[in-house]
Amino acid sequence: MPGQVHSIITKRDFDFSALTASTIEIPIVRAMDITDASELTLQARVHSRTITSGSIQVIARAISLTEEEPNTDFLSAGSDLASITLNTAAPILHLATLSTPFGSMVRIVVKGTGAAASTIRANISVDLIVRTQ
Amino acid sequence: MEACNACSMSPADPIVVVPVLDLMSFDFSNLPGGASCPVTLRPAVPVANFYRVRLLVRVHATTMGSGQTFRFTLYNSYPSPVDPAKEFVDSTGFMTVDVTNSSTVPRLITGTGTDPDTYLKVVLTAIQGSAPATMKATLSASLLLRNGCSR
Repeated sequence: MPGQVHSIITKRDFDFSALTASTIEIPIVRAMDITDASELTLQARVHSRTITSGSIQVIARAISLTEEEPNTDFLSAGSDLASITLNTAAPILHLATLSTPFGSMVRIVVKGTGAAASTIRANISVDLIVRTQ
Repeated sequence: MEACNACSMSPADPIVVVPVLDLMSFDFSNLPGGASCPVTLRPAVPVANFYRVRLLVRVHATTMGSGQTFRFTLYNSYPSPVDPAKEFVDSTGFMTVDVTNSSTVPRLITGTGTDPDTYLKVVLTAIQGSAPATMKATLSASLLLRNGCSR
């Protein structure tokens, strides 16, 4: 089965330490075309990690854009296609297979969940492995 | 084509537009009052061949209140191929562009800097107002890189 590794983001910091209890989602790719994909794997490399409480997740969601309304994000109301929680000491590789149906486009976000007086920081890089039939 | 009298730049000198943020919607409404949250958009954009740097920020939509800011900051950086795991960044910002609630939409906000180092790190920082409130923006941004003066 042929495939390709698409870099979503190169190594960089995410710091949600300012959050006290709530969550914030940072989109790292708005809508990647995956029309030809038959199997998708989200992979996150954790280069460093300091999470004393709270959490950081890398999440894939189904999305669709249309030329008829190009500035609107049509996001699926269904479950996340894949979710990785950075819960292991670095360096570590996390893998998650995207559930079907994943549609024609996928969005990747990094979600931080806060906790009072906590350090919630990680340095990560993220790829999407796209396999076609 | 004749060179510019002021800076000797030829019209054939390259001008490059580097997208650093495709249209993206951000929601930092849950950020506590007075807190900030940085997002690295590009760790290292190569700019060694250019003297002038202009950051172009398109503000597509906002829901913001007083005291809230989306701040784009460029930092000089110099990654090392022999030590790629480390980040070598000048902590003093090269330039900043702020998007505030006074920025009517749609709007273009720009900032210009000159004589950058070899690479620029692009960071977007959400800065919440003194009291937490809805803070959303849909933004896109590019770097315009060129040499010579602005004539």
